[in-house]
Amino acid sequence: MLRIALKTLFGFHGKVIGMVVGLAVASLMMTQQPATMLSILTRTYSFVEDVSQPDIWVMDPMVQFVDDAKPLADSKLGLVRSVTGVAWAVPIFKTVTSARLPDGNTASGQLVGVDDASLIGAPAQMVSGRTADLHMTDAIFVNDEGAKLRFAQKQPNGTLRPLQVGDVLELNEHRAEVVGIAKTGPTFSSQPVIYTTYTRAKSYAPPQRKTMSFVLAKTRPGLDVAKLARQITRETGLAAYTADEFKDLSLWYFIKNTGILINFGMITLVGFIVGAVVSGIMFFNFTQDNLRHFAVLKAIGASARQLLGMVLLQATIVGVIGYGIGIGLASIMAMSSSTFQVKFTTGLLAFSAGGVLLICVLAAGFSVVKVLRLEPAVVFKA
Amino acid sequence: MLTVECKQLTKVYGTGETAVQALRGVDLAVAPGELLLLVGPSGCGKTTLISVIASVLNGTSGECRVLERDVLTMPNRDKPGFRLKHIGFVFQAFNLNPTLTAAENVAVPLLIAGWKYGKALARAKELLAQVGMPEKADVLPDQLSGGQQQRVAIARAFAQEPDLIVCDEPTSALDSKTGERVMHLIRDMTHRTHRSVIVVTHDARIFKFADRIVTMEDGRIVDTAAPSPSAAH
Repeated sequence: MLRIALKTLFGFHGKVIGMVVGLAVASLMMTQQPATMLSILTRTYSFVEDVSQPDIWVMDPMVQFVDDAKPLADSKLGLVRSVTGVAWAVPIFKTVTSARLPDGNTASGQLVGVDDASLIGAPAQMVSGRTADLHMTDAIFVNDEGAKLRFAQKQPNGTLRPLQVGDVLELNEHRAEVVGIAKTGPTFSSQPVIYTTYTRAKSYAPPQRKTMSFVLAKTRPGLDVAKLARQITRETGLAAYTADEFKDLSLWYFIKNTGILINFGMITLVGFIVGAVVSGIMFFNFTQDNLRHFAVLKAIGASARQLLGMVLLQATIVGVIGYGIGIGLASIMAMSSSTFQVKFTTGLLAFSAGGVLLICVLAAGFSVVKVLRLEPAVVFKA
Repeated sequence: MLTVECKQLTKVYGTGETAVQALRGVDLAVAPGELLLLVGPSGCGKTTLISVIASVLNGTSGECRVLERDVLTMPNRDKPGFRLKHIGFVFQAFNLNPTLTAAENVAVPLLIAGWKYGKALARAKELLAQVGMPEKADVLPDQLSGGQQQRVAIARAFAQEPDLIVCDEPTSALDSKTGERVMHLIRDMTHRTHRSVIVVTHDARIFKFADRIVTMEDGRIVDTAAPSPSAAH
């Protein structure tokens, strides 16, 4: 019976192609758009992920997201260090600066100053160079995305050469030599990130009274990180978050204050609706066109369960093919973009699979009702 | 044991003022191995009668025993299994699935009954050979003539070796020669396998194939006769 169902399905090429295309479009849009949105949102807190050692971030209470750092007085560092349970605390400085490139061009980037002694806050993964090289005179790291894109230099033959170790930049009229290329997560603004020591970063940035952006703190072993964060808040009057809380804070700021969720959500919804309407109607029509054959099967003696199985199998097959094509297209689109990395998480794939499944269930549901209510006596009508 | 025995069978479509009485107390008996022709003007209740007998339509009152089971009181859930085992169908419009080969169409009742695909197909090919089409097993219906399609449908009706076969206008879509060939085939297979066949028809050319001709008018049986000597085979 299932073989009959499949042969009947594929016997109607045009309708099958229509159904598959509808589901593929739905699957593509329900995968690619949320994946793009999630990738963008992930960028809002990539800086927190790149700094892996501290488990508590301390900042001005008015900070709303990672790039919203409000300068703190250096004296606040001592306050945080004095809280019982803090193993260590180091400053980190984050600002935006303009860099003059070796070819004379200028480009803006984020400047991050990490603790002079421990280098805590420096990226954990290096593409070239060593973390300790940051102790060298005028040393800076540049993130690999920035080195390849914004800081890439035009060659006489028109090609772009990525920034390399040994290249020298000019930051606020100070010499800065690239001693390492760091592997970091992409930033929300796609700006290059320059890492250097805290003291050197202050000299690169325009003069200001307060320079410390965050205090990075580590909890003593065995203590509850979230509880210590609350304690730091109580004792210092500063906002203290665990790394995950700080990521959530940034994430929700962008969700609440930008149209990103609505825009991507709308496109995803449109994909679902288009897929549901196109594929649903085509599947319903396909079943309608075959009602007479279903009636013949019913008259011959096919049970409701067998007929239900046939319709469900047909819907499932169309769904699997459509979903597969949609995911394939989304993957090709993601791979074809060299500048924007899109990640497909298992949850996301499950989400789009659920959407396609829902379309198939709805289409099969409406269709099967017709089949099951069919009076087998219609077979005698000419 | 009679294959079919209807007593005072009625069927009413609709209710109230719009009700239509399609069968008005039909008494009919069909013996095993008998080929019975049901004739009469359009709307006289022929198709309704075979629909009730074949248990694809519920009767309203009376009794209709098929193989000693009253199809009027039979639970709906039992009917598909009963039809599958005991009743074969031949339709005016053939009703072959255009996406299946001739052999697959013949195998449909066997597949519904749970036969393995390969075994069902082998049996279907035997049946196609019996209806004179062994070479057409892998051909799609739209590549067959009307007569060939009807022969495939006949093979399908006999696939499960049912006790009763109901045929609705099996020759009306065919030319006279093909119609005769089809009726020859139905009669031969009926007598060879000792099955009962009820044929609804308007086609006087096939009266000669009947063992008995029952005439209906306004939902009643008005005449039962053997085919006339001039039409007899």
